[in-house]
This record gives sequence, C-alpha cells and structure tokens, in this order.
Amino acid sequence: MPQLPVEPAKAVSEILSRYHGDPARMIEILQDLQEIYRYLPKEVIEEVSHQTEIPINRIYHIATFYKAFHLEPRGETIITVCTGTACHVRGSFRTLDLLSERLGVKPNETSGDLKYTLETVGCVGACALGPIVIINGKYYGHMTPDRMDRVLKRMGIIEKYS
Amino acid sequence: MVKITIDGKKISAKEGETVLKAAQRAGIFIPTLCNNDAVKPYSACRMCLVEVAKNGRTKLVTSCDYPVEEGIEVNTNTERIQRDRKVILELLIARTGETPELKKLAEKVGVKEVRFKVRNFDDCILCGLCVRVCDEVVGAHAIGFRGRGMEREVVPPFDVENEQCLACGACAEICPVNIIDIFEHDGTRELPKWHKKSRLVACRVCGKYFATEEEIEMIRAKTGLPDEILYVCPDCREHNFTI
Repeated sequence: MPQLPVEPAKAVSEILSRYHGDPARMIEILQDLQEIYRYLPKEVIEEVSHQTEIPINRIYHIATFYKAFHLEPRGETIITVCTGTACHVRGSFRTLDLLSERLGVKPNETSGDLKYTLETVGCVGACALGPIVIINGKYYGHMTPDRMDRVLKRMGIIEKYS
Repeated sequence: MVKITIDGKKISAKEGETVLKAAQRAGIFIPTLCNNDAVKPYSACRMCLVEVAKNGRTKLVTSCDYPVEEGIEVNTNTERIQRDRKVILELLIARTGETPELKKLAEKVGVKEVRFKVRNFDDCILCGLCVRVCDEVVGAHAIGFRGRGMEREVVPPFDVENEQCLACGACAEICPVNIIDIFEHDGTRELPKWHKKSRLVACRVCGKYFATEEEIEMIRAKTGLPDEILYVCPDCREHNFTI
C-alpha cells in the first residue's frame, strides 16, 4: 500500500468544513477527496464515516453506485478512449488496441507503477470528432493508431515503452 | 382521519398511514415480500403493487410506502395487478429458485408455473431486508449495497471482515430466500457471506452457547449490566433472577 500524499484525517476535516459538515453533500465531499487522492482510498472513506458519523456502509454504497468514483488507485495520466457507437464504427478499438500495447496496460486497468490508467467510456457526446481520446481532460479528435502514436511521442510516453 | 376506498370498501385510515397498513387493518390481503414491521418500507420487491385512482386517473404504486390521501380509490386485485404481480414473482423465482417463502407467495398470487428458465443460483433478490435490519434494528451497519444495476449486491463495506458485525444472525433470520448461511460449530459462529467468524459465549449456569462475544459487548455498552447477568443465557436468567 503506497503512502497517501495527504493525511486522511486532515484532508477530510478540511473538506468537511467547506460544506459546513453537512452530510447531505456527501457526493461533493467524495468528489473533492477524489481530487486529492485520484481515487477513494479505504482509509479516507473510513475517516469520512468517522467524522460525519455516517455509517460506513452508506458511504460505501454511494462510492460504489456512481461510476465517477474509483476505489482502486489510478494512474497519473488517465487516457480515456470513447467506444460509443459512433467512435466504434470509425475504428476506435484500433486506437484502444494500440494504446494497450504501447502502455502495457489492459483496457480499464492501471499500470503497476501507477503512471497510466487506460479506460473506455460509452460516449462523451463529441461524436462529430470521433474516434475521440481524452488524455488528462484534453480531447483529441479523429484519432487513428498513427495519430495516436504521434501524440504519445509528443507527450514523451512512447520512448519508454517501444 | 382520512377516508379512502379499498376494493370498494369504505375505510377510515389514520393520517400519514400507508395504504398497505390501512388495508391490513381492514382485513384486506396484499401480498408482500420485502416488507417487515421491524423496518422501514423500501418498496423493492414490488409485490404489494396496487392501483390508485385519483382525479379520474389510475396508476400502479407500491402500497407499502404510499401514504393515504383523502378520497383515493384503491384496488388491490385488478386484472392488471394480477398480471404484473405474477410476472414479477416469476422473475424472482427464476432468479433464486423456489424457496419456501416464495412458494407460499406463489400460491397466494396464483403463479402456477414459472415461464422463465429457473437459474436456481440461490441468488440474492436485493430486497434489502438484511441491510435494513442491520441498520435499523441491530444498529451495527455492518452490511450494505454495492454497485448498481446488474452488479448490485449486498456486501460488508469493501467486502472484507469488519468489526461492526456482531454475528448476531438477524440478517440470516430475516432473509426471505435463505441465502445467508450461518454455521455454529466448536464454540464459533460463522457467516461466510460476510467473512465473519465469532467466538460464542457459554452460559455460566447451564454451559450452553447462547451469544457471540460481540453481542455481549454491545449489550454491555448499551445497558451497563454486570457480568453475572450478561454471561447467563436468557433461559437461566429467567430461573435465577427476577427483574
């Protein structure tokens, strides 16, 4: 288990004060915490339960209900490939295969060194730009394996892996 | 008092009461599965569907959590309800197999054969009774739902053993489809589904195992009773103490 960058007790109390300790804002509280840790570590969820006096089974229910919350560590660089219908018919799976090979990570997994997370998503609502790939929040449209390779090279990802 | 009609019968229901409660008091049968007086209604199983007519419109609602309103007209057994109930129960049986409780319900609802392939996986029907009894009655909050849709299931948080579970077995007791196993052997009680194993406490008088260590500690914390009472089983307590 890697050391957490911020002490859970401190992070949780600071974020709770933002919401005046109102447990009805649980989703916002968890979102803010996820921003710090990139995922929701067990210790953090336990700490939220401790400080809000909301039973841990409720918080765990919320954290597992929404796809936006992650309970497993995620990589520094998050690469999202859209596999929605429009992107799929234009061959997004080829780009996905390439990314998987280059990064050494299976779709929807994180590399062992916590550098990369490769994930797929149903549709991002930018079908006109499909196939679309999102790298740390930046959108790359009309993606083909060739263009993907160039992007990876530009970002300094590729030398390490090829 | 609120005046409502159920199956043509005029009934005066209490303010804030649910349709199900009002019907039960009037002796009108509505099938239920996930309803239990010990816990709050959850409207998960959909067996208690009734038709409510208001302002000339009818709609299907779950009677276990639908509050009575002045002048509503409730029908508990129309053709539409019968058909929907049957399908729902058949799907439940297909999911988990024909357990005694579902069989009883099938007779009452009129399900003669299940038209779906019965998987018989001993699958959870997600009625939430175990979660609610753990939250509301026991107060342990040891188990809860995880995920949603097809992945939804009942697990202890993080699916690991936890300290909150008292191994009291209330969840196994209340489960309508008997999928929560509970074993007792060599002075231990085990609930494999929650990864829980507890040591049992033997009665100081008769020597029979009667509770888990966690249960005793919980009762001690709540009541502050001395060991002479805590470590005596309910049967012996009745003989030895007058409270």
